Amino acid sequence: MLSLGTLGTAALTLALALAVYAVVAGAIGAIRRDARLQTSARLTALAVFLAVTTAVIVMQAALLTDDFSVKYVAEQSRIESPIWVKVVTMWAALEGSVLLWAWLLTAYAAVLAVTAPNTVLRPWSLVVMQVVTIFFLSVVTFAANPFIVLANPPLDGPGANPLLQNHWMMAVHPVLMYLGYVGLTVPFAFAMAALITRRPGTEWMRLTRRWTLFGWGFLTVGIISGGWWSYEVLGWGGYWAWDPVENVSIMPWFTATAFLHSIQVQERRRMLKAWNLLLIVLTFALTLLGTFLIRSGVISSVHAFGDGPVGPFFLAFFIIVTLVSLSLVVWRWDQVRDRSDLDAVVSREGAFIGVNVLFLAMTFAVLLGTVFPLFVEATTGARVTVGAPFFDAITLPVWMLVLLLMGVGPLLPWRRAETQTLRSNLTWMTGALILALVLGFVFGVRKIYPLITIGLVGWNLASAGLLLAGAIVPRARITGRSLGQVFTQYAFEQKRRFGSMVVHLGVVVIALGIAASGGYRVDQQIRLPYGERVAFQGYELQALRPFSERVQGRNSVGVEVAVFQGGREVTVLTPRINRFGTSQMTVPTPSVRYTASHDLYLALAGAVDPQQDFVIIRAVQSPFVTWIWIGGLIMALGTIYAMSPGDRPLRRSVSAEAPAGAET
Amino acid sequence: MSALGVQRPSAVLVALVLAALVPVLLVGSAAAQDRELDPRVFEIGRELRCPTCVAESVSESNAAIAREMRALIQEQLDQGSSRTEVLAFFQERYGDWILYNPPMRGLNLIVWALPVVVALLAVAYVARLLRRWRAAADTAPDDVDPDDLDRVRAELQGPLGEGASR
Repeated sequence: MLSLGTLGTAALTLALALAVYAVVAGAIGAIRRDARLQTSARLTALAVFLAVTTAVIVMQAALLTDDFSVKYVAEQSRIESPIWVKVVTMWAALEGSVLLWAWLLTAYAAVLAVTAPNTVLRPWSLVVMQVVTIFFLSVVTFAANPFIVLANPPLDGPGANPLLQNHWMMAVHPVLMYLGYVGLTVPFAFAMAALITRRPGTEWMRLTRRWTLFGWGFLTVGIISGGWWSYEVLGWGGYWAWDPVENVSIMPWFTATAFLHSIQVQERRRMLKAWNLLLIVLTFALTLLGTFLIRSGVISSVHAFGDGPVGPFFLAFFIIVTLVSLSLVVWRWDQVRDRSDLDAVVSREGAFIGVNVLFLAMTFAVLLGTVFPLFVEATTGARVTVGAPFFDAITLPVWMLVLLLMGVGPLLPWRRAETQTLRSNLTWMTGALILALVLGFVFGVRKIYPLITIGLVGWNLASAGLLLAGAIVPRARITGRSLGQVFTQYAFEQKRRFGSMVVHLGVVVIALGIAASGGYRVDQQIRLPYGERVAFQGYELQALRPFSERVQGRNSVGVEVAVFQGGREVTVLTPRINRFGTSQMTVPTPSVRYTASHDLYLALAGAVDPQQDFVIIRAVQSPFVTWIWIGGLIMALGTIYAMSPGDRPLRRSVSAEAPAGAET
Repeated sequence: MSALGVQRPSAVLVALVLAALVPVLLVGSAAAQDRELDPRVFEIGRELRCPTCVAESVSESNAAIAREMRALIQEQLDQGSSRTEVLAFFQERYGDWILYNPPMRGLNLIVWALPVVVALLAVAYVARLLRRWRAAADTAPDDVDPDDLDRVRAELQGPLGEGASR
């Protein structure tokens, strides 16, 4: 009988062969301008997607039927696990993650093949997508094949990594990250196509604007959801530790954010052609470099779940991608070279260029800090550590400048700012900044970065208000309609602009959350004798009783802790320690009381021993953390709004002449 | 016990840790987990690497050694040591490697200085570019983007017409 493992490998091999055909047919079709070959390549993209989909279905079947003859299932799954864990086990380890990545990539390629408008760029961008697909399919077929058939299958497996099983975010966060990475492959592919076809104008970025936002949005949400996952699972009350995996995920986000801003300069002013091409290449290359660093095991991290022999593949592909794309840029240098002119530095384009410098500076600092220990050990054998305090010290000042620019930039007009308007705007914003600083100071904020952040939050809120007022008030005055009506119209017609305002608001909210929780978190380890109330940060904690439970392969022991505030019981938290299956690894799982002003976060610090009449708890009080997740949500909504169809540039909406009698 | 540290032990790390463990275990009390710990302990712990862990600080990790070290920090604080003294204590035993904030000397100067140098170079380069572009703008004929012109015309006409019809 045909085993699932064989079937899976066969599907992958078929997909690989088809992808190779799609590249060859697509390239020849593009060179010879042969429409039939191009169509054939496009249809093949669909076939590749179907073949990889088959492999994914086979993997799911193997996981759900506990087919331990499949190596990946034997190594990662367990009969006792609940169904959702089995489903998401597909991306709980390296081989399956690469399969998921490849699958999403072929899905995007298929969607592109069907929906991309028929331009000169289309055939080549599809070829590039398929080249990337070939890389991922080769990795998953040859280097990290999850479908290898075991001659002697075990009766049961160890189950997925306990840290991953411990939270439902495992089902969400990795998928969001991959959707982000893969989404940014699309503008990369079009950029390459633009270089190949000698059309490095704005066409490629216009065609991929939604894809860029899509990829960037998912990357944003992916990173933030990862932070929340750490918060809920790792048990130390934080969400970001400048761990290597976090660093390599934020680097492409930095460059993608820079890209998102600088493409607007090119769209509007035809400047920065080469720069934008380099940025998207850098973004794509950084995702590959990051995957190499993490998966090869050259850098270890808390979040690197399983490594394998894929490191050299990613390194090689990273080098190839970088060399080929840079050569392309150099080859087309005459076309991409900027022949720009700039009227004034104090202008929208000036602000965009500034924010680019800031994000690239952070990318460099984070990259250096991440690989520096590796570099030193390789050259001198000495061991050095570069960690959170370094990254904070080096990026926080830059973040402050980013927030500062974020307030000014959107208010500046293109080309040249009118000094008078600018001065009046800056006066208002400075007023708000000072007011916020004073308020922060009055409420006891003394640490420097939280205080500056609060000031800049005021600065940005004022800026948003001025921006909105500037867009709405004159229009309301001219048309004689109410502010509400004009606002609705503005928000509805200027989706891109309004969406970006919402995204920036999300950033402000997150900044506030990070400043407060980063600066004023209180960690304490306290002893709670059963039955006694112990004070902690305005609360009283009372350990009630230990408990244990066993559900679907998970053993938990924990303690019920009643939480009192002002003498009244507000909630009962249940910090616990989980164990999964036969794994010896214990996962302390915190229990959190979320409120708008702060979170109360309890984790077990010691064992729960029935002989013992007390329990040791790690209690964390972290102000404003929830606003980070809310800010992430705001950013996501803003991004969705900015990419939603129907964005009409103002000039059209205003100049469109209403048919006589339409407005009654 | 965090299996994260156990999951992928590198030989060097294990050797290093075994050598390093000795002094700490001697000082650390057996009932280290039963201690109450001040917020200051976690603040200091955040600057120290957990020696057996993959990439976690002493404050984040649940590994046995991280707990011992937290208890040790508390002990030293109780004896009146300052933050710097506590950090120096661990630095003496483990070397600079234990500090998450690489001290600014020797090779580490590279990691501190290079980002600043590169950022300054980038700013200088961009400033030069901007100056060149400004010069280009001064000599270039003042061409108006036709789109902009359309928009201005439309803005002048459209809404006013609409307003007038009311």
